[in-house]
Amino acid sequence: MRRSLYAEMLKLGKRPAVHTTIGVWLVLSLFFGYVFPYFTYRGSSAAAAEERAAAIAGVLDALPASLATTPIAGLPVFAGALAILFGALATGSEYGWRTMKIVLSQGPPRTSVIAGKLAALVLLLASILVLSFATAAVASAIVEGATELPTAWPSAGAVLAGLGSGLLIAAMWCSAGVLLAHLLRGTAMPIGLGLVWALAVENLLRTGASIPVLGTLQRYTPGSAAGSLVAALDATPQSAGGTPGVSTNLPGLTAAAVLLVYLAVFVIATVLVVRRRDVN
Amino acid sequence: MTTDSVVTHQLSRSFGSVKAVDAIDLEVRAGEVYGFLGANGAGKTTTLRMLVGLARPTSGKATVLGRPPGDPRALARTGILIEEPALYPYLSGRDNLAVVGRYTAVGARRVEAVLETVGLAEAAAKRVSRYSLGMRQRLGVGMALLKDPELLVLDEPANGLDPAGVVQMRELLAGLASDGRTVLLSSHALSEVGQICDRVGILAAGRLVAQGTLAEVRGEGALLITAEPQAEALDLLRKRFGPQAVRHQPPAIALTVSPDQAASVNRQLNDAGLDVSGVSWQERSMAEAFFDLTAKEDDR
Repeated sequence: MRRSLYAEMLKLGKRPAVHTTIGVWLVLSLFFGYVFPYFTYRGSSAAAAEERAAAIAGVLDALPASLATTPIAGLPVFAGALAILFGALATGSEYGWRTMKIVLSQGPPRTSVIAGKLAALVLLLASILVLSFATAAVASAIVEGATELPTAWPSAGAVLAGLGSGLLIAAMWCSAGVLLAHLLRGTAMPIGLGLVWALAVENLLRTGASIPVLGTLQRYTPGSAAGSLVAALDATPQSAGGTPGVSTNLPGLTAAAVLLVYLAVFVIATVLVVRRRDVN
Repeated sequence: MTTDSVVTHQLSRSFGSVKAVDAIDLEVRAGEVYGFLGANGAGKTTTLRMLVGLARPTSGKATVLGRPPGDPRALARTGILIEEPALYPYLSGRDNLAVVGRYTAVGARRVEAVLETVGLAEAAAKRVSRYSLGMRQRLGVGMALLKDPELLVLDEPANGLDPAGVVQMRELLAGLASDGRTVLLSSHALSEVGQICDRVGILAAGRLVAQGTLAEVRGEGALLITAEPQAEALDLLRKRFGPQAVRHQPPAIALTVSPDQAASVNRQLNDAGLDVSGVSWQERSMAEAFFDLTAKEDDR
């Protein structure tokens, strides 16, 4: 697996599409997590009490006290979509360029090739999350200085819990992208389907949550479990004006377990598909 | 004792009701250059894909370097170029080789050596998306050579190369073979195969219709006889040697006998009062053998 991991790291590390997606991820995180709440706060009028209260509530998530959750609050929806994109890009392109036959005919067994690819993607996601937390720390310190609102930095344990939870969510979405790309042998369809699921279907299910069967189903979807895990770390839920997708549908441990099950199912299905399949 | 690098027994692959490869018994001996010939769609690539584990046979068996197809231990000793080279377009030629090198635990020094071997050292830093077809083909061969394999499985390696490139590729393959490597080379370029292969197998409509040395597959040559009146000469030769041995090949008559019978045939025609203006020996070309063998299969 080590050899496959090194090969995958070279491929991912030099790929312009990966650099672009990392940039988009960081910019979106900073803009919606810090820039947008800060300017809303700045622009709010002290005379309009209700508007002012909403603006203060919004900017609280941009302060250092929320550092453990704000960088991962986007993962249930938009950053999750980007994680699907990474998985689908890294895998689907191998079919598009027909390099899958090169990868699978060099000697390492197919399972170790897949393990190497998944490990490289997890390392990539972990690096993005660390970068995301680092930029968030700087941004939150700037917001704190500019707003002069009283706040405290979270403990190292809380930040690590946020990082770990973020990695679990991102890895789950990414492995879904990998599986879709293997099933559909390409890039465009898996990305399209992944985005439709993460951005549209999950939202539609939320609107139908009052229907008993749909309600139960909706609580256990990947997006709902991701949102519940983030909320369990004390992020503001969407219902209280927090980031879209952050919900309190499941307790934290249940949400983490559901995410682990999805991750395991996606990985095992990928291994089964690749091991049994002919490659063109 | 001769050992075999590749052996198949009744190897078959069907796609629905279509038999792409039909019960072939291939035998590629260690250290030889084996030409795998066939028209487009004859089943060559499907066979090669089965041999390297990229496709599963419907029935039959195969061993490659003593192991089942796709076995990691055999793949680690096999260099592969199947169909057109598959490359990462955003990486340079050097990085493409480095990626394969990482899968196979081959270092940077070997990558540079292979770039030299395939004539891409100067273009090594250039992105592959800017490579010409010929350069891509050479890089594909380079990928196959990277792990210094015992067995090379090359599918149409000269595709897309200009005439000078074809000659270079032929010299490269001849050099590889002289190092004791086994080369299984699929091609439809009969003249190329004739120049570098020790043995050949001919595939037609998924069936292996011939296998052996070039001389064995080409079969017997023929005496080319020019005699007048031609109709009488044809009659006489058919009576003496049987209709199977005589073929009208205007402006001459081809007679399938051994070359040392030339004088005797000439004398018989002269004795019959025919005017013989030429008797010469003609080897059967690989192309003739190929078309005869594949035409028979197509008629089935």
